[in-house]
Order: sequence, then C-alpha cells, then structure tokens
Amino acid sequence: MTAASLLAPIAPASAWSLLLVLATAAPARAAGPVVAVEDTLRTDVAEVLVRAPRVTLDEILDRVARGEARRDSLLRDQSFTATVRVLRNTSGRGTPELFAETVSKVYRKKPNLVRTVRLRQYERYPDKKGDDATLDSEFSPGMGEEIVNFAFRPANRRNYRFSIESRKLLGDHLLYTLRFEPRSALAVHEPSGRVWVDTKDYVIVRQEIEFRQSPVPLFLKSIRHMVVERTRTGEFWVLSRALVRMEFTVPLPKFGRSFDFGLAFSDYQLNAGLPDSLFAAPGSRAESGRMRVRVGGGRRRS
Amino acid sequence: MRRARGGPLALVLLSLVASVGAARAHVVPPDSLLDAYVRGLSDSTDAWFGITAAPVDTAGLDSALAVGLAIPPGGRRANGTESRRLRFGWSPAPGFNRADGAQLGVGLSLRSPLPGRLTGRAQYTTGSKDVLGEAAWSESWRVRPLRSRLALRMAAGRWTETADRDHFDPLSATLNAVLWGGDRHQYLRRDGVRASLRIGDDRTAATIGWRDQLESSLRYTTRWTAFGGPPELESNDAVPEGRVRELALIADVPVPGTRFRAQAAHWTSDPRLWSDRQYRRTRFLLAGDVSLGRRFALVPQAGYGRLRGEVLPQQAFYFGGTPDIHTLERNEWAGAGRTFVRTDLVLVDDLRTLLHLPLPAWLPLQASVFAATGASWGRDPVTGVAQPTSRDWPHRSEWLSEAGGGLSWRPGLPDPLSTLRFEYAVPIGADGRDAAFTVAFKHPLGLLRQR
Repeated sequence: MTAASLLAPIAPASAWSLLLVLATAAPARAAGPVVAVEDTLRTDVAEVLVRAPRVTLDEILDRVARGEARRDSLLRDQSFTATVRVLRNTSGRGTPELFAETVSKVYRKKPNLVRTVRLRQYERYPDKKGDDATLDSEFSPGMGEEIVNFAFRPANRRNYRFSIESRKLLGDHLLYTLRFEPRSALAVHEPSGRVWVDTKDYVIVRQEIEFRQSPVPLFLKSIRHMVVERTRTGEFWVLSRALVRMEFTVPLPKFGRSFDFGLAFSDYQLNAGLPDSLFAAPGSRAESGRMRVRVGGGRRRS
Repeated sequence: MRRARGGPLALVLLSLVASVGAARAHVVPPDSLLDAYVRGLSDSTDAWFGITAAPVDTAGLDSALAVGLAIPPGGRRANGTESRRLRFGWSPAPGFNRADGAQLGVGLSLRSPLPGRLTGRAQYTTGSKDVLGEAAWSESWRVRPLRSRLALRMAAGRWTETADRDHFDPLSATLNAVLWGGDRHQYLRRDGVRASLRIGDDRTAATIGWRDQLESSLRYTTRWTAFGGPPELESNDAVPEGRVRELALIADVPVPGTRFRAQAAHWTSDPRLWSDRQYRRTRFLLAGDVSLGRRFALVPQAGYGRLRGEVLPQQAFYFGGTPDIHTLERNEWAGAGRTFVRTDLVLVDDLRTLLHLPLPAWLPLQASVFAATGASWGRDPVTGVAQPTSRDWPHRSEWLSEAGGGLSWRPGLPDPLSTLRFEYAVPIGADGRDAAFTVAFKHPLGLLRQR
C-alpha cells in the first residue's frame, strides 16, 4: 500500500499536494523513488543585497568582555555541588584509578560570602594520622569564573592574539568559535586554545585549552588536553566542568606518571535569595577571588 | 478540474501542516539546537576523559548535607575555611658570604587575628659571630576604584647586604661563595628600619620607600670553600660609615601598544632629610619582547643609571659579569654612570623536539644569540673604583661590546620563564678582554628587576 492509496479517500489532487509539501519539508529524509514532479507552482523571490557590516573581531571581544561582566553582575548568589577528582594511570599502561575525590556543597553570596560543606571525601591512600588531606579544595566568593574567560578579561586581552575560526547558526543563536594564543613568542608555557561564544548573550559556552610547552618542565612533561565547559541553568551559563590530563616527567610513588584532574559543578541554584545566616563572617582564607585547590596534602599548621 | 477541486483541501492541509510546525516550534525552546550542539561537544569530552568525566555518585550526599548544615557556620569543618586564629610557620634561612661566614638561622611567619602579617628572620653568623635578622609587618588592601592593591611593608633589623644595589641573586652568590669562592660582591652592614608603600596591579605600579639605616663596613672573615682554594676576592671593600636616610620613588609602567615595560627609579639622600649623605641616584630601564613569527622572539633590553653628589661604593653602578657585559669579571668596574643595551634572539622551540635529540622531557632546551654593548664612566681608570663626574653620558672610547650565543634550560621554577643559561661571549673590539663562558640563572627580561 502506497502513500497515494492511503490518501485516495480524501482527494487525489490534494493527496499529491500533501506529498509535495511533505517532500519539500524534509528533502533530506525523502528516500526512495520520486513519484511525481510538480512543475506548475512557481515563485520568484527578489534578491536582497545585505550591506550590513559583519561584526568585527574586536567588537566580538568587546562584547564578550561586556557579556561576561554582565553575567557576573546579574548573579547575586549561587549554590552548587562541586566535585574535585584526581585519577591516576589515565594513559599508557594500567587502568585509570580514582586517586582522590572530594564532593562539597558550596554556597556563595555577593559581595564576599562563601560557605563550603564537605559532603564526601575519598582518598586512595589516606594519611594514617588523618590530618593530611591529599586533595583539599577551597572556594572563593567570586562568581566571575576566571578559568573560563581569563583571555577575554580587559587586563589580559592585550596578551593574546584572537582569530575567528568558524561561525555556526543554531536556531536563533550564532555560535562563534574563536582561537586565541599568546602574543608573545616567549610565552610558550601560556595557554592557547579555542572558545565557543554564543553571540546572543556574548557568553563563553565552552573552551578547549592547550599548552605549547609545559609550564613546569622539570616536573610536568605535558598538559595533553584541557577542556572547560559551561552549562545553561535558567538564563545563565555557568561553569560545569574543567578537565585536564597531565603527565609527569618521572613517575611518582603511589601515583604514577599520568593523571587526570577534574572539577565538576552540578545542582546549581542561582539567585535563590540565600540568607546571610547561612554564612559565617567573611573568612580570611577565602577572599583571594578564585577557587584554590591544593593537591598532594601538606600538613596544616595552626 | 480535479486540480481545482483539490485546491482548497490542499490549502487546508498546508495550513494544518504549518500549524503543527508552529505548535512544535512553540513547544521546543528556540535554544534547543544550541543546547544539543553544546551537549554533543560535551559528549566528545566524556569519551575522551572516560571515567574522569563520569557524573558524581550522589548516594548519601543529601544526608551529609543535612549534617553539614546543622553545624553552625564558621567552624573549620563546616565551611572549609579556617577562622583567623594564630598560625605560625617557619623555614630554614641559611646563607654564606666571605664577610659573615655561614649564616645559620630560621625564617618565621605569624598570622594573627590582628591585621597584617608578621614575619621575621634570625641568623647567627659563624665568621663575624654576630646575629642578623629582621622583624617585618606587611599588609595589603584592595583599592577598588583603581583596580589595584595598596601594600605596606615595614621592617626593622640588621642586614648584611651587597654594595651592588641593582643585581643580586642570593642563591647563585651563595653557591658560588660556598663551593669555590666565586662570589665577587662587596658586602656591608645596614642597621635600622625601612618601609615601602606600593600601589598597583600586576602591570603598573608606583612605590615610595623610606629607609633610615646606619651603614658600616664588614671585615673579611671566611676563607674556606667547599672545594678548597681561596676566594676570588681576598678582601671586602670598606664603606664610609654613616647614617643614611633615603627616600625612594619607583614607577613601573607598560609601554602602550607594546610588550615593553619601563621602569624609572630615583633614590635621594640629603642632609635636609637628616641624612649624613648627599646623593641622587637615578635609573631607567626598558625591556620587552618582539615576536618574529611563532618560533623566534627578539628581546631588547636597555638601562641607564647615574649617580650624582657623593659617590659611595654602596650607591655606585657596578659593571661586568652576567647582568651586563660577560667578558668582564662580575662587578669588575664601579662607576657614577652606567649604560647598557642587549638584544637576544631566542629560538623558542624546544630543541629536543626540533632536532629529535634523545634528551629527557625535563630538559627542554632553547637556543639563542645575543649582542650587547655598554659603558661605565665616572670611575678611576686604574683601580676601577667609582668617582664623581659631571658627565651624563660615556665617551665613545668607554663603550664595550660583545656578541655570543648559548643554550638555555627552562625548568619552569621559580617562574615559567627563567632559564639556566650556558652562554659563550666574544668581545668585540681590541681592548684586551677574553672570550668568556658563563652559567647563570636568568629571566629573559632580567634587566628589569623582578617585582
């Protein structure tokens, strides 16, 4: 039974018209023989010469800086679950193994309130005395997500060379892929990479980072791959993951040579009106403006 | 006729299809395409990183959160931050020079509920059998309108310092002195107080400083070296004793539109500031880098210094050695004026990968060539000691030039750009200098003092 016979009870001509409509609506999916070719419907569309100037790279960079600043200014408070994870044996021989993981709930409120509730901590080789954490994470009150937009900040922009790599139209979003690299040839240790910018809000939605040479060749052989991702939560794009794979120059005892370091942020609540009573008075150690992660322990002295 | 009958129905169907499409467009958010695209990229990340990218196991987290929130905020375990209680730290503070001998001591730091940070250092010197040290207080504040920080540091104590105020690397000087007596600095004692107030960010800064110190000579006390042999210098030059009260003004700015930085510094001491000395010491520095493609970097550096008034050894401009002209011995000359220009051409690529050298990964090597010229004036031509002069620029005959090349190893510590340089320099001009091979740990923009 063909499609034409199915539609026969309605009206043959209408059925052909419907087939034509369906065929033109989804040409890529219309596989199989061509039943008929409608050549009686014609239309002319007048040419339109678009003279609007294309947005320049400088303008994009300005707007990204403004978009990121705007995004930051609209955030009043946030809470999320943060997972900090280190895996060893992530390349070469051996199977990847979880070395340490910390899960925390973080509450932040402007201007400088932060509270971190440790939910879970796992260590492959815990310290016997219990006071020497392998993986220790501290979060700052800042919501600017410098790890995402460091190259686009007005203070840093002059240090990087930018270029447009591609444009992609996705629905009513125009997504630019920009490439950035240090302007100075001496800066072989500094990050370069690609960012994906949604030009609707001019926010960065993803970043891939590479290093031409290791920043610390004495210990670190290479940083093979680094990805920073954002996800949309309500109206905001927020940091969701930062993943990096690295390799030491020499294998470390109990740790090996290659390892992954991952930060994951989930369960975001934004501008929920967190009460001040949730927080202690602003602490001294958490006011540096960014997240700090200390790996490898080191006894806290007090 | 048939076409005429079917026309209205087709239009109805068309409008039906259109309305279904419209309804779907209404249900599906317009951002779904972008979200799907970003999700696709994220899936590729999942595939690349494997279990590192796996979602966290949420079992038990809710109850842990309830327990955590039940603890009042402010406790260490509840918020992950520590309250501002007393925190004490220490580190060893060793040193060595031929005036003090071995310096054995500790460095201390204390954080308290009070504002600022207290640090201290105490050392016993085996040669001069003396106690050196300092107690310092420092604090910094954010200056939001200027997007800067204001930092204040005050210190009081007894120091052994080098007469060369411009270049001193304590690590290499100490190693040179301990191992084979190759330390060519002159040392003096300074007792008193000093303070500095700095405002700026990581590119632009202005500093005002003040010191009130008694300067005095140190005797030469220690001859021994680890590998035997006498020290290169068999004496430690005397300095005129006196109380010095000195005002310092330092500005460090980027040159707009370039990757160059300029630094201007002026130190003044005058009886009107209740000082025993009267001098004006001025120094200008300019350095930066120019990229020649992705493989080469040109690194020009230039400096000019001038001392007016009393020309004291501890204020003079020293000349020679790894900071400037390699084909002179370190600090061979001291003058009331110094000018120096050097340009390096650096191949930034790692020679291991470029030439497929079988070297370990921790040994990345860079190659470079350089040319340098400079002059020191306002000095006794026989003794090489600084003396007053009215000239602000050297004679043509006073210029010394050299060229050379070398290899650099970049360990990435203590900063990513500093390298251990093995350089061979050849003098240009018939003035009796010999070619020199030097090993020095340097920043590519070493002429600009690191902040």
